[in-house]
Amino acid sequence: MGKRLKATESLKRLIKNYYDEFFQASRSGKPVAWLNVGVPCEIFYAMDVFPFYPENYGAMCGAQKVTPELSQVAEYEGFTVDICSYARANIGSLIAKKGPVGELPLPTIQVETTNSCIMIMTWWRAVEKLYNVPTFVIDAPLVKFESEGYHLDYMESELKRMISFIEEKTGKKFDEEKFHEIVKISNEGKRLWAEILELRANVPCPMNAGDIFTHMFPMVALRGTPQYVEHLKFLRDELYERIQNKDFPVPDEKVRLLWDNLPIWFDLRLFDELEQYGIIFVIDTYTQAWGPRFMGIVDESNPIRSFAYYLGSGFLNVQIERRWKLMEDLIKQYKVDGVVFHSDRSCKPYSLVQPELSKLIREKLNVPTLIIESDHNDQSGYNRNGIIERMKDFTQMIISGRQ
Amino acid sequence: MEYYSYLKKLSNTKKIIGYFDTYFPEEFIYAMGFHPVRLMSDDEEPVRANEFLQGFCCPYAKNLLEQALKHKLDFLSAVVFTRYCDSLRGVYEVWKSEKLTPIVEFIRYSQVVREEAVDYLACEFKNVFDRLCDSLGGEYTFDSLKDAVVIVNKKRKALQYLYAKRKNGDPKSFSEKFYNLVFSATWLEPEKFIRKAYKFGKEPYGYPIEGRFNEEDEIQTCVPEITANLEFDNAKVVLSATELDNIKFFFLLDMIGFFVISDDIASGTRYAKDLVKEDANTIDELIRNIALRYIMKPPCSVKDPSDRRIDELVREVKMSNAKGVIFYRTRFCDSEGVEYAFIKKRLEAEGIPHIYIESDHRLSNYQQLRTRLEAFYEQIVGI
Repeated sequence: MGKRLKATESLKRLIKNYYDEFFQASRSGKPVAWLNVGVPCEIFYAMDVFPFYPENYGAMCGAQKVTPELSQVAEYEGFTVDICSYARANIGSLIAKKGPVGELPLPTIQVETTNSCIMIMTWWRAVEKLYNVPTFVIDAPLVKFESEGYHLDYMESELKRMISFIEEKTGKKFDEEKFHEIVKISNEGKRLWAEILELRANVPCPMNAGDIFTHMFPMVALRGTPQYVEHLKFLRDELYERIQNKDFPVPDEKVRLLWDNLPIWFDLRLFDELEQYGIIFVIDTYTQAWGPRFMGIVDESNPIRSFAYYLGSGFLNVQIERRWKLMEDLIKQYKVDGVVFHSDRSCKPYSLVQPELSKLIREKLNVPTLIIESDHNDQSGYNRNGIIERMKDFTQMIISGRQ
Repeated sequence: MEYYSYLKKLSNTKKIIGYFDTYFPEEFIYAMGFHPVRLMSDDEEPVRANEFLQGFCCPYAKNLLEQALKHKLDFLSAVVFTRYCDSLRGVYEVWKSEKLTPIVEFIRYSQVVREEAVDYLACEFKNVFDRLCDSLGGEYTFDSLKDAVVIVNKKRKALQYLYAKRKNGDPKSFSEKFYNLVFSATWLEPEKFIRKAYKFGKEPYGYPIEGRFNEEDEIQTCVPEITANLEFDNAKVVLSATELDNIKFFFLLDMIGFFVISDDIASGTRYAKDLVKEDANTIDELIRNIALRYIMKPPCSVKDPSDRRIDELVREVKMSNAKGVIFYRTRFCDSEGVEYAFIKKRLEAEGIPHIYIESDHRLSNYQQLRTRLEAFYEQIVGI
């Protein structure tokens, strides 16, 4: 149970170095930008502005189980308890001047995009107003399938406006040559990520969901850097090695499941725990947000336009038709026996469409589904035993259905 | 409810198009010869909607879905969503998948309050309403759109007139009655609403109303409602909320003794303020004027920046000499859950007393609300 990847040790070093660099940048006066995960960090690396992702920091608060404590600090200031737990943890951490990595230095600027949720926009606004941080919102109107036509033109103009904003607020210039180099590196890593995701289709699966969620970090924060490519290569090779040596987390898979939504960051061990019952999560929708369908290879001859396309067609900026298509493809490609929807109280755009998707999957593909409710970051009211029992029953139901 | 019977009857002669928030440009629907209506919540408990939306979805949005699932909105020919918030986005997906109205349209709306978004939104309006014309068999022209702009502007001016009258204490109608009238602006036929609005009082005074109607005959017949026992000067409050359709809430405020002198409600002053510029030589210019108004109008907290919303709230308090603010948040409303922190800070800085209350479309915590509001009343009236 919980067979660890060697790459996890290298990932820990990567994260530590990233945070060291973040603190160093803040101390030395190098511009730091807080971004939400939809904003392309490649542009910031090209402009020598350090990109920091508060959502990633939020997940760290979750993993270290400090969200309820930090949340109370935010609630005391008037932020309500039912807003996103990432936001509560981050805001609480700023106000309290404490958290998993100590006091968080304030950024030089903030940039966020509306391509995931409205909540993010108000969270960034909170930091802007509390600490007077110059903030730019990349407006990304929700699309049905993808960004095209005048929508795409608008997305491109938004990215150009963002670059002007960064130049104006940090004094850093957009270096086109450096940008092209970074885009090349970013693309190389994206190809590796796509390969890693595909390797999980192997039967048995070489990597459970807890590991892939952990290894998302370089895809989120380090795209375009050499260490990101190096790490993904290491991870990919290890998966090949596992397949070759028949060294699988669940050698005797009883059910292959798909996980929908963010993970429960404070309980990634849940996936390990379920392995003893022959349950493995072979694929998930969340990591696809950085995969070839939603954050694919950037056209190196016209990178800004290409980034604009992916930004406008981001995973949470498309409608149910495309979410359904993704799930249908994944269920077939990964030989999925059942789908588990994590109904996440802190992520409405991801969660509110799940009952409808669940219905579609049952009716059109005849694949069993289960909806469990929790929160991605706040353990208050978490019913771990209840979830495990329901998963076991669900597995039994799938097995019985085969006979 | 008058609203349902009125719209049901109207649907025999006109196509009714439903919308969900005041970012919807109703001008286009009038220009096509149809009737736009903002869908309002009722006090129905979600039963069927619970099959499709989780417990943490905004209860107001969920109630609208419940009404559709129970066929209460079968008089609609189409609905148009604007995204607005994350909960309404969820409602949209279900509405579309379950085909709850013959046509379900979606405007890929901008979330920012800045002029750079205007041209994009104008293109999007044109695209969506051209498509809607095709699917509903309608048409809008430069002339019909211009007429529609004029009539909607008149509707907003009538509302401004009502608010101006109220700030000056005439008529001192109960809040329940006043807000019944205000909210009817988004579902009555415009001419009927305008007549009703001008009947409600006599002459406007206070800040000037640009381009007011000459409705003298109608105004003559008006009998302002006088509420003799109302402590007008002491109990004046401004109500801040996103949408608040449950008129029972206003009844509760009346019973306690509050006088809602003005508001910061999406379908209240935020709907009434800012007109579309009528001056245009081409249809594209006119569409751009419409887009400009909807981008720059007093923002809800789902838009960025939302500073004007807080400024306007404080302005309403000062202009009406209100004693305090009642901030009402619909449970699970994310944007208001963040915005409140800044409203609180600003009101405290301005020395304006306020109360934060939270409920759902059914006011299921009615007794608890009453106790808290009574305490606030005593605080501001000084009993």
